[in-house]
Amino acid sequence: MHLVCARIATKGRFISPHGGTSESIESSKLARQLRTETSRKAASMLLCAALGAYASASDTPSANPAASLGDLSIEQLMNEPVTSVSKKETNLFQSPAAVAVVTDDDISRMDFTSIPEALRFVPGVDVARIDGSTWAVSVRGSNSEFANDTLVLIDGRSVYSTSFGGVFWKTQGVPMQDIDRIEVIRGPGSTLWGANALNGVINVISKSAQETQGLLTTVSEGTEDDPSVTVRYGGSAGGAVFYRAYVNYFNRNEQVLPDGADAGDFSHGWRTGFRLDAKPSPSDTFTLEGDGYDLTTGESETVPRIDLGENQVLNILSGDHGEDILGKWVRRTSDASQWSVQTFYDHYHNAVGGTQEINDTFDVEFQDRFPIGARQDIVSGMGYRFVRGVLPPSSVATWTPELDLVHLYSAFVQDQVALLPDRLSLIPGAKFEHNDVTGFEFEPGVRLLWTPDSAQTLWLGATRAVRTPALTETAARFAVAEFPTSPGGPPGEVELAGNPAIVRSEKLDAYEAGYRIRPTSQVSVDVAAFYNVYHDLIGYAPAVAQFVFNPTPPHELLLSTAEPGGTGHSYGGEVSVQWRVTERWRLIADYSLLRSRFYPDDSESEDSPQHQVHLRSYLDLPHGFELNGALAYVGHIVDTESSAPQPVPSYVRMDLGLVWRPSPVVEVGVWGQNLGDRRHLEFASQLTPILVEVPEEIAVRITWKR
Amino acid sequence: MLEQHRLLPQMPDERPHHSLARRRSLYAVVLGLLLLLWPLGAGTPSSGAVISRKFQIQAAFVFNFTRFVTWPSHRFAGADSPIIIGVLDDNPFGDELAAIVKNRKVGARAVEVRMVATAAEAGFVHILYVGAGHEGRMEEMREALRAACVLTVGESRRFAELGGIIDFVLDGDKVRFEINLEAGEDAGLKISAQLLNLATTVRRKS
Repeated sequence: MHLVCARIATKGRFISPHGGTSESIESSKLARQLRTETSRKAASMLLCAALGAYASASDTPSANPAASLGDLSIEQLMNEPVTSVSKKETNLFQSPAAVAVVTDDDISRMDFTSIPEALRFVPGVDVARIDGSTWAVSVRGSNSEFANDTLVLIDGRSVYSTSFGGVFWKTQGVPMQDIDRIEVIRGPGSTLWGANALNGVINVISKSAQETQGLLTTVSEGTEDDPSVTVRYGGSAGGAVFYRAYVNYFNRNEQVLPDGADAGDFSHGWRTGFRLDAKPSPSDTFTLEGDGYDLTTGESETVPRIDLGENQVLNILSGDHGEDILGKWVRRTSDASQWSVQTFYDHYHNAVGGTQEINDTFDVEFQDRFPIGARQDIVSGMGYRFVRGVLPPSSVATWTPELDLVHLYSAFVQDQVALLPDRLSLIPGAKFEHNDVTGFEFEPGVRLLWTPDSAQTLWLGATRAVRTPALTETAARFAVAEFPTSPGGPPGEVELAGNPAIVRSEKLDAYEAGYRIRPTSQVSVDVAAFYNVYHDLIGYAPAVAQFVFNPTPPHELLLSTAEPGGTGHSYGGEVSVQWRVTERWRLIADYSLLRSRFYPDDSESEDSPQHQVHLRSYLDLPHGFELNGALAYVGHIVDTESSAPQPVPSYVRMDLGLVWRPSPVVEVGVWGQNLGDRRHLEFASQLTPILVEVPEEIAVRITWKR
Repeated sequence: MLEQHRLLPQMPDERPHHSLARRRSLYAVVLGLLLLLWPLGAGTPSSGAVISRKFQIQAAFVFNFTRFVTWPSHRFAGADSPIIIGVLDDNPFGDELAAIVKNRKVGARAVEVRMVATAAEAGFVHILYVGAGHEGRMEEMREALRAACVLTVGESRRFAELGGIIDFVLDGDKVRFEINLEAGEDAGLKISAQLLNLATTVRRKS
């Protein structure tokens, strides 16, 4: 065993023969990756669908100052709220946080077919396709298949897994035609959304039933989506009651392995859902919406077999199904005040990396917004969430306990104080939470917003955010890999163990600043910078070697246990420029920088690229044609610890699409994605050593509406 | 055999204290600011002409309509003569509408905004915005407007009843519009199918 330890200590890696390929995995790195991977328990966040100074940025993409309102099309104008949730009409340009919005126009121009795809061109967001159905998506760093620092909500319903610490992206299948916008807040959203909104918040907001009336049929057919068919019908039940329902069938082909072979990562399934909006009176709005899905995914599972002395790679079929329902009632009590009640129930049975979870979540929350005097605008709320997770043992994971029950209580208040009316505001706020794992959490923050004129905005922020430990970090035990100890020696196995003694959340103190300027009515520039200080980080300690007789055969066990107490910091920023070159041509460019370092091992962050550059061009041509294109450079993923070559090199991606609208009824589009690149790797999954590459993709989409 | 090796250095002991100190200071700042600023709530209301969001959006719509409506050629002196938007009597847009049309062209045409008080003035505009409460004045000018092929835009039920062409309606918190195509055709205007398609209702010749 000393031998093993010495090997780990000196070389820092071991060989895990695997499916014929020799994978070099460095143990503490692997452990740390799994820490990101694994995660989560207990409480979560309270979703605040819409409020607060920047949440309303948020809920209201709107309130473009006149200069930009004139740039909007009639369709866009029809979606501009007259009375934003924030009576202050804080808007994107004047929000005191780093916010970006993916609009339905972006979605249709670029033919984004999933939420992660739609996030690819958002500054500060790292999107990497692990395989056909799994994604790594994170804001400002620490990316992984379960990126536990980024909170994701769909119409106010949190889809952050309370056991794995992250999002099951493959099951988040809102039809893209139904999405009104996706708001991405970079930096902590903890004062409103609470725990786990550490590095960012992604809000997916769907269109109201009223905006999706009539019959819509969309058929996509291509080299990967083969096919995807969505039928949606929206109608009115008389008066101010509108509804819609959709059904989607999709079949996605396999991607490729580095040697060009099929990766076995196909997926197909059904999704269906509905939304009902009613306005029984001018001051009341009711929304009821629900979804269901049933998916089948091809997956490669790596099972360490000490009895065989090898790692078995199994191609398995994994099934996921789930349902959710959400109701919301908003009552506007005056021009400047309103309250709302929202409740949701979410049930899913998801599979990932050879393990699975059956989860039920019930959530209810109340929000209230009102002014005090003429200078203060208060948003407050309280909520309760109950999560019940069942985690059956599998060939790679066991959970102690296997039943997880969590009660989360929360309350928050935020005040927007006008120091100088319409010019200078101070926005203090705080969230208080209590969960069963870490007890009380207090997440305060303060922002300062200065708008010297309608063409400039300067903001500053200081925020404390927390991430509650994931069940994977407190209760799971994963068998990671089998390895040979020495020629003819006993087999060995690497395992990761959660640590029930972890009772503190990870903490972040984030310092942010941003500046926006519209030098001319055609150009707008947005710059944001951040410095993040993390403490109480949970990581896996280097492996401890033991020789064990049980289970048989006797073998070396390298056990790495989750430990609290790590620290780290990161800094960086994003610059984005929008330029309306002519009435018919728009260019959008952005650059994102991220540097991070974590202690005690003094490692560079290995999970997200340091540099990203995006460039998009939207060109309207005569006769109903549209030509849209994008270029993206995604830097390599830094891995200073590994003596092996960079696991994920940088890549350049080019997308091009031509859309034709011969009449208001029909739309035909042809898109090429990753053009000129046969295939590239975007991410190395931590759950399997199999690398799956993203191929060039050609797709045709026909939409018919009446 | 269960000998353990901790290969990682232990966390330094001072770290927790450090983070506690940081947390305390942050809290103190937030609480301090909260207390300091509370009395400001009783401050004076903000002054200045703030144009309501509704009218900002309506202004952008009015400008947009110029792209979807074709006037008879005799309404323009030349191919690059401006499109003139008139606002009847009382301007609810403040400077918003003027700001939107400034530096923007529709084809070769610039767009101008003018105040309108008389039927004679109304004959010079291409679009006339009739605010709520001014429908009666529009009725007085009705014949002049029709003869001059003016696209009337308003925002009230009464406006629609009096034969206004495009009527803004508020649908929840969104601005939508209805089109009286019959009245538009009477005025000799061609309204594009795309715009008709976006209208919540279109009144056609029965």
